[in-house]
Amino acid sequence: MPAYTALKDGFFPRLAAKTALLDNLDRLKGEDARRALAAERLGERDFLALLSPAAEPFLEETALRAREETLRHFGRAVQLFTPLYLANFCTNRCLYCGFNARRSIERRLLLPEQVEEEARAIAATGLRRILALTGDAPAKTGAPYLASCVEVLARHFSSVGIEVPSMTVEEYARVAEAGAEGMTMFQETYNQTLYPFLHPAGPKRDFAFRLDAPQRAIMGGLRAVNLGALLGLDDWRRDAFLTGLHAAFLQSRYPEEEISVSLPRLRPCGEPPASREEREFTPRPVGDRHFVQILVALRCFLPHIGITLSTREPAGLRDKLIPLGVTRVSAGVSTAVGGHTAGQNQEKKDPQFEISDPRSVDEMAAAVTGLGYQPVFSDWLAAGAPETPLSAGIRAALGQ
Amino acid sequence: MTGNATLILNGEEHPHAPGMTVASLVASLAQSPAGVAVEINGAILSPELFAQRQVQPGDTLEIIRFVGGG
Amino acid sequence: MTENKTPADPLVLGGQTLGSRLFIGTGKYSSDALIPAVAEASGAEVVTLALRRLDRSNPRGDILTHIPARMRLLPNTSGARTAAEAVRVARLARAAGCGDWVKIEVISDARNLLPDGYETAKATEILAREGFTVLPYVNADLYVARSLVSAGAAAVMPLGSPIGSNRGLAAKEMIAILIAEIPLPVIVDAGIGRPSQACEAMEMGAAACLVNTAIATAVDPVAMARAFGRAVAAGREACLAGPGRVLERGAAPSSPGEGALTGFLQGES
Repeated sequence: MPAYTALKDGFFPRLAAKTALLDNLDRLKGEDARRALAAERLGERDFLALLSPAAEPFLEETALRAREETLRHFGRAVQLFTPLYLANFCTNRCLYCGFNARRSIERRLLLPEQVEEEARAIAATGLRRILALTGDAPAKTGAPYLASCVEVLARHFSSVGIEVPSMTVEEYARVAEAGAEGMTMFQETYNQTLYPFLHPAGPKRDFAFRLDAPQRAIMGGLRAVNLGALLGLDDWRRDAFLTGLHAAFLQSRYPEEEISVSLPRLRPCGEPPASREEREFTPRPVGDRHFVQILVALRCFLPHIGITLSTREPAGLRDKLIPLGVTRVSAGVSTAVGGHTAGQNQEKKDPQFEISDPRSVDEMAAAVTGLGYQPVFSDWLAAGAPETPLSAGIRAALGQ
Repeated sequence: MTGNATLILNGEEHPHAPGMTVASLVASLAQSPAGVAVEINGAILSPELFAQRQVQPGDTLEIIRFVGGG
Repeated sequence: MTENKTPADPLVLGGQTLGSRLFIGTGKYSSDALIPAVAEASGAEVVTLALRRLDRSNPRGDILTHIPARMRLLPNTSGARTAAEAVRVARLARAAGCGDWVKIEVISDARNLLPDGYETAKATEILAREGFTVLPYVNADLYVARSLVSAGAAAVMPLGSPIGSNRGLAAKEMIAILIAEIPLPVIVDAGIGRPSQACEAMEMGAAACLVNTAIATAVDPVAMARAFGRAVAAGREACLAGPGRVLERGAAPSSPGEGALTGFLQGES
């Protein structure tokens, strides 16, 4: 397999220079944070200032600006969605993940008719935006499998996103054609030294291939990409900063694309360490105060991008963060394969991560309304095509 | 036929002597050839060729020069 | 007289290094004889001019004799109503021996004199490929500006307000967007009526200003040219100095930890 050459006009050639900007972190003062808050448009240095220790006394002021910017760009609307785990076969050995290949969990994948069942169950809750996930097992759950699942999902949901291992442009094109609108790709960490340590084996080990994935997805025709780093792997200031710059880069390179960011905070995957490396890995957990600092700084730097908060975070915190810039939340979540239909037992079995906010769609919608916001189930811009005829293969699989 | 052959210059009939060159035509019309461009029958004539190119009866010429503008 | 040393804050356009960010025009003067003194007073290094059919009945000295030899000529394509006409004018201008800079001005609206962005972009693409340094004059429209970037323009020249209106930066918000989003020099052209308006455009981050009517029709054009030169330089210097904290945004909390939005974090790590 030939080594991957990073895209020349991508983020990878710029990463070293951007990372070097982090050397300024300790030189930034309160005055720099104040200036950032007063600026019409924040530059990279302003963003760094708001993430720096010097900005910590200005958290409330930053939050005020973040709320103002969010209201201006998003009004009082919050999008709801849920993840659908199609399969958990995985050949990677990421130290922090419940689907790690070394872990002995039951490996499952959903067949098209099972995807159809899950889709119906989820659509019955009113949701129209779905995120389909798989582990990294190209032989079993690669692009062809994914495209057939997306085809089924596109009939039930107006927005189908995928969160799957990095693919080639052609593979993204295939999935886009099947009806996918967007993709989510977490770089996990932008630290090129730490990254291989966290991913000791498996295709995910290729840092540049993963970094370029959102851009390849755009080249393949997906119109929305969602970025993020797993906060708690490296020093959070570094990964939050580079996530913001990655998003800003893609937005200026592709002004017509919908770029958004997630803020996943490392959560325990619930099992004892499965390997020596896992035992050696020391996460750097992000406290709530710093987590809020990341959110409001990001909102000030990129006023127009969507920010997603998953059920890794507890209900109380999620509710408090919606006014500060969160514009998309998940609800009715199960992170187990087939978790929406298999009954209560399945939800407790083999999740990718522990869920802290178990609220159903109805409960989440009520909470959002209670906060003075409107829960949005379907983004009218992303019209689905429920009447599109299915391919022969899928019809056969569904027994039609 | 002697003397007054005509060509079209800047949209109007203009007499010219046989064998007249573009350079002498321009000189007869403008104080200096600097800042002057000439188009013959729709094609721009390179300034180096002004002295060589003779005008023919029936040629359509545009002689353009710089003027004040914003 | 050419500068021997590189100017401090140069504007590089079409491979040329410019020390002055004020461009001037040569139209509408009561007498072309004013132009040399105006050029000198303004400090400008770039001057626009137009092309017209030679007027046989009026063969007086041409404009070039009034323009200092050191200045870079920027012919415009005024009179062109389509891309094809603009391309023709540009080629004629180059043949007339003024260099290969061109300001594309495609206007088919005689009442408002607003430029046609679509035709301008087409002309830009053709002329850029022929090696011209293209400065297109357009409305401050982000999509038009982006198409000009792809077409190979050397700068984008949005109008401040309609030609000759002297109404300043009516399109200020839109120009600010171009300055933020377009990776080319943004040169504000048309409608600048007072030096303060040129100063403001430069403070906002414009790369240069082009001023014609305001100078040509002033009671004392030479003095006005001097004022504009200073205003453009002042605005540029202010932009580089980095404006400090302007206003408090939102209310400041009475004391730390009591914030309405983040107070819930009290006691958290």
